[in-house]
Amino acid sequence: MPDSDIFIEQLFPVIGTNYRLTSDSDDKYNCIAYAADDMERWWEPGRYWPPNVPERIDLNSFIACYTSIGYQDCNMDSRLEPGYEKVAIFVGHFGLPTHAAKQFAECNGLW
Amino acid sequence: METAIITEKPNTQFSRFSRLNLEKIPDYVALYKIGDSAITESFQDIYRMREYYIFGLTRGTALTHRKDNIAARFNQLASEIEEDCMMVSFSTLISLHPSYQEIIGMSSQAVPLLIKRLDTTPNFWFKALEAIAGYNPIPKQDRGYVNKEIAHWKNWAREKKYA
Repeated sequence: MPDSDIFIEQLFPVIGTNYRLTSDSDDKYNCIAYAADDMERWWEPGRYWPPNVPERIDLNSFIACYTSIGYQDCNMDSRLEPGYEKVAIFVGHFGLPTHAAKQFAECNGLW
Repeated sequence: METAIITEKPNTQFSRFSRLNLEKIPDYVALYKIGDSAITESFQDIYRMREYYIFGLTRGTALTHRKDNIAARFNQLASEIEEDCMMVSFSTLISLHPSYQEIIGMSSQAVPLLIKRLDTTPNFWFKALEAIAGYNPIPKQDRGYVNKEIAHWKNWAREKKYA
């Protein structure tokens, strides 16, 4: 795995060098699935979505999605806390979720 | 000569590579919001908004395509979508792209091309197939497993004599 990717740096111009490549891109899963530690399925309302969670693309549904697999609300506290694994749900205009990321303890809390 | 009616591609705010992020997609959601405030209530709402987009917000000029141009036009649109939406995490949002609407407008003529495209960028095309088919052949337990989803759509296409 190379250390950097010029394509990623063009896409995200403020990323600088503060990242590392951990795997190749893979069509089998998306960021929502990856943050939920599922690298076998694509998570999205209408495709795979956890049971008993409303199948809507809105923040409440995404919070319920991660709550259903054991996460709790941490009040937007993005600091690394020993013993906890955190996910962040990114929201765009009009409150529509656009992305999710998980925190890496072994990288000093980078997302 | 067979022709297919497609919707005019609006004078879009979408750009090429430089507009690759999600920021422009909500502009379209905002347009939808003009006629429909419950923008995320359900997929039915999204589909309804899409209909509103096609019939309410485009300029209403119908273009015709010769049948032998369909593949070329499809490939052009599909490449645009793949480039603009490569970082988009949800096929539902990808399906709001204007070029995606044009592909759906190609209706059954696009099905063999969509099926073929599943081999390279599968996650982009399930929504178009579902919109054209009016049906999702993937059983609940297989949803999200991309290879199984591809197999179900290919089986469906064979059964319907598309492939």
